[in-house]
Amino acid sequence: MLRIFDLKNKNFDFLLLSAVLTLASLGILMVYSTSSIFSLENYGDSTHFLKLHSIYLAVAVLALIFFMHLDYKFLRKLTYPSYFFGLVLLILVLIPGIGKEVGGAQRWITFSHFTFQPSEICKYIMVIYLAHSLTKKRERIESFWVGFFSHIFVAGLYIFLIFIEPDFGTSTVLLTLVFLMLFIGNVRLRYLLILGGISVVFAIGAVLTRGYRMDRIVSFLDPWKDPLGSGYQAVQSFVAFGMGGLYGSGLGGSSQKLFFLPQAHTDFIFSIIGEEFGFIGICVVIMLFLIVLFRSIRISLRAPDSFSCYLVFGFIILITLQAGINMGVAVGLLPTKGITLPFISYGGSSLVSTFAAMGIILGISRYADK
Amino acid sequence: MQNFKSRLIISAIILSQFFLIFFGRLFYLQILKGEEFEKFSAENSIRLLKVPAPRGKILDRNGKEIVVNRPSFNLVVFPREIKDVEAISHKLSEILGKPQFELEITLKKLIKQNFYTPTPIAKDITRDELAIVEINRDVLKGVDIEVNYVRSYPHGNSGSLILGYLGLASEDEIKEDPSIEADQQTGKFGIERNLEKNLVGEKGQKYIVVDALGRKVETPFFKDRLHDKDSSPGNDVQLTIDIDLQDTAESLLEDKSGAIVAMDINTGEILALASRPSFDLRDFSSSITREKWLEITNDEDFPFLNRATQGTYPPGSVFKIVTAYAALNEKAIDYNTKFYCPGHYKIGKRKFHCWKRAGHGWVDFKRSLVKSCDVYYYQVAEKLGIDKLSKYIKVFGFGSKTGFDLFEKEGVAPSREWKLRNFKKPWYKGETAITSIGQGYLNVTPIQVNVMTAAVANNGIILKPTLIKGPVEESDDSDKIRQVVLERSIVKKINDALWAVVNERGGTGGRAKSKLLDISGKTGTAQVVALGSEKGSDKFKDHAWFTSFAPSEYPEIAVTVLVENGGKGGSVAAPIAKEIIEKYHQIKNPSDDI
Repeated sequence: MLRIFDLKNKNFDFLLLSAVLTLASLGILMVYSTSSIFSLENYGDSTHFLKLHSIYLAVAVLALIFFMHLDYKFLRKLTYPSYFFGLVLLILVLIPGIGKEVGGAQRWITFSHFTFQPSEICKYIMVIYLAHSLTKKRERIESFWVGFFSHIFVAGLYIFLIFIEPDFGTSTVLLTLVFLMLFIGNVRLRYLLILGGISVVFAIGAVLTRGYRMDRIVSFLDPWKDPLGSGYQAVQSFVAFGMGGLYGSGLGGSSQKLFFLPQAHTDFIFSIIGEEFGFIGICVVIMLFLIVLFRSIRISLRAPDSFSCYLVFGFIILITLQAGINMGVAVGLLPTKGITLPFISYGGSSLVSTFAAMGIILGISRYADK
Repeated sequence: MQNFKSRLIISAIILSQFFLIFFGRLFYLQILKGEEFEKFSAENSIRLLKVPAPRGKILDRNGKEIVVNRPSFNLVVFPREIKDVEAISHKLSEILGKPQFELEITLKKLIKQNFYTPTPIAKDITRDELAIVEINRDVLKGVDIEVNYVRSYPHGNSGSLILGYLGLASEDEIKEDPSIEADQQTGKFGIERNLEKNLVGEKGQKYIVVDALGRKVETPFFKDRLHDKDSSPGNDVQLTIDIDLQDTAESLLEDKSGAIVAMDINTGEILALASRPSFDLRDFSSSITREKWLEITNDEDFPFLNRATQGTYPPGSVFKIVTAYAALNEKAIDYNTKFYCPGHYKIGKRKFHCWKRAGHGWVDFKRSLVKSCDVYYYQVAEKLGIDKLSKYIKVFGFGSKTGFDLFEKEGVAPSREWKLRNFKKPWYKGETAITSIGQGYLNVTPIQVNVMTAAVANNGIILKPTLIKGPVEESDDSDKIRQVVLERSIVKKINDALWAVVNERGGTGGRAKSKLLDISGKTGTAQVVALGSEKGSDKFKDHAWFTSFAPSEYPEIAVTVLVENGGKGGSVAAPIAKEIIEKYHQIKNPSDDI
């Protein structure tokens, strides 16, 4: 019998939920701290972004509660419809007139007052698809065509469509996700190594054929070459961390946020946390992300079945990868990439989809072996 | 299932390793190097300073400096660092003497439009202003002093029309060469423009960190990481000009309008090339005011016209050298041919006068040049005809550019075809007569006359005049010689006559006679065509010519002098040529007394 909700079992992972909510609360503080001046200057209201972010967060919490009580088995039934839904969105976004072009990339769809990135949702759809398919093909997973090629083909379609938007960052995230999910799904290592090799060659090609990507790599390798130009954000980020020192300058005490505008409350929020809360504060934030990672992995390991195990693993990989890339950029270990910090950065679609994913993980935690 | 679990745990461990790396990195950024990075904080600012590159110097043939650089101080604004516009513009208005509101508008505009670009607001400020700026550093946060170079001219105005000047780069120049910056000075005229690529240096860059008071903060940790670049100066240019001779030439023309060309007759190297009136180089050294610019460009005396190469004039009697050579070479006359001059000569129904109305009596070839008898040449022209004459006009280089390094005009070399083409009319015999004495349609530049004179002095080689000694592109010597055309024996005879013009009693060029060395030359007094009522006004006075070479026996230098509306060549231009040649002789033989 098809059951959509399971409202009886309330035995979810409380520690995981607490970590997520702590990060989200920090997010509210930081979005206000980083955006207030920008809001005041551009909207005449210092709480402009704070208000919007609070609304998004409220929606996100509702989504979390909703998905927490959803029976995960029902999600499996949605695998193919949602895959095609995502495919349609990714094609629509490329059609001029429907897709909105911002800075040379066509990544957004506007729907009355509401703008969203299809790739944001498609990442999660991809996890559902892979979790379903890896479970279904478990017996023949070691075969090249069934276990490896079919997944690469279906996932590749998404990655290709996102790549040509172009959105190099998200396609890289997605490719890494596919790689890791096939890895834990027991696909033969040698196929995965071939996939890794091809991806590296392809990525180098993508960098070499687009000058701006090359510029980013160069300024990443040596931000001091042009500290007032392409290396500007990296240098300013270092300064923010340096200003923070051990204890930080206190909430709202950042002076560096002025230098990242208009990205202080999105891509560079981590640097401002470092400045305002110092090394101690930033360690706490990283610890919280590690708690989220380890608790989720624990749930995955104790999951009641293969599908839910893969599902939890896929979601937490996605969230951790994004957090890792965002932090890596801020501390100057990765080239500049427009990826937000999950749970914390300002931004509606990413906040809602991350919370929905956490909701599903928490929902599965109810059935995990204790 | 065991395999799956281990793979899952491996994945999780690898992922968590990244966060460990972040811990390490943050420890380095925040704890170990925190203080260093703090130096780039909001209170402190990184500034990118341009290190100016001095332009190459312009030297004379002996390495003496004609154009050099001197340091100048500009006030530069860093709009990003400006906090209190009112206080700063108030202080600046005190220092610079400009109205405060004007400065306020400028600053606000810079902050709005040029937030990240340091921009000069006052150029070439005085030492006194500089001192006041230094004292008021605390108020003038975001304002700094930038050292730059501007041109300086140890020899004043000498050679201004050759050297040229600098001005702000134009939009076209920037479009063509993106390395040129908007506030960069480029050569606009003369050598400064033609050798821009050679003279211009390569700017360097330097990062400094300053604190809230604009004081430099030492950042040893970043010294190696910030990529400073040294500037490299432009290359020097060496001219063929002898600046001492040039100075003499300029001062001899001081209150006159005209031109002087002095050339080495063996190499074609220009030793002096003066033109007056000219402009004052110092007006252009930092940046010219609009009023000054209008004053110069609207001047009716055309101070930008290089009269030596761009001014075209009827040559008058100096041209008789060409007619004489043509007639001898075409055997229309020989050295002994005599004509009688009663003071006029009739061609058809028209009567053509000799400049000496009383006439010269019997005149032979040599006397025709010594006395510059017009009637003699009317009769030579009648025998020669225009077609042969116009051939020699071209042979001597008239009607075409000499190939000189700066802008020059071609002038007019008339011929039967030329007249038909330009006037749709046939050639009249009378026109041959007036052409033979350097009047009529003929129009020449002083440098063309100088090349002609050099050819007579060097046994017949038409040279290409050069102004630049170095850097020289690889080229063989034949490049300097346009053609070897003249018959030596005829040239020798003309030379004898030109010596007599100056040195024999009654020669028209007697006032060029020097006690130091023998000078040969030819006078010219070119009529300016005037309509009835204008006659007699200064504007239509004759142009005075004198073209010469020395020493007569073994010539080295050819000197041509033109004085616009100066009157008689023998009395106005000849003494100037003599002084130039004597100066040349003195430079070569410093021990000789006059």
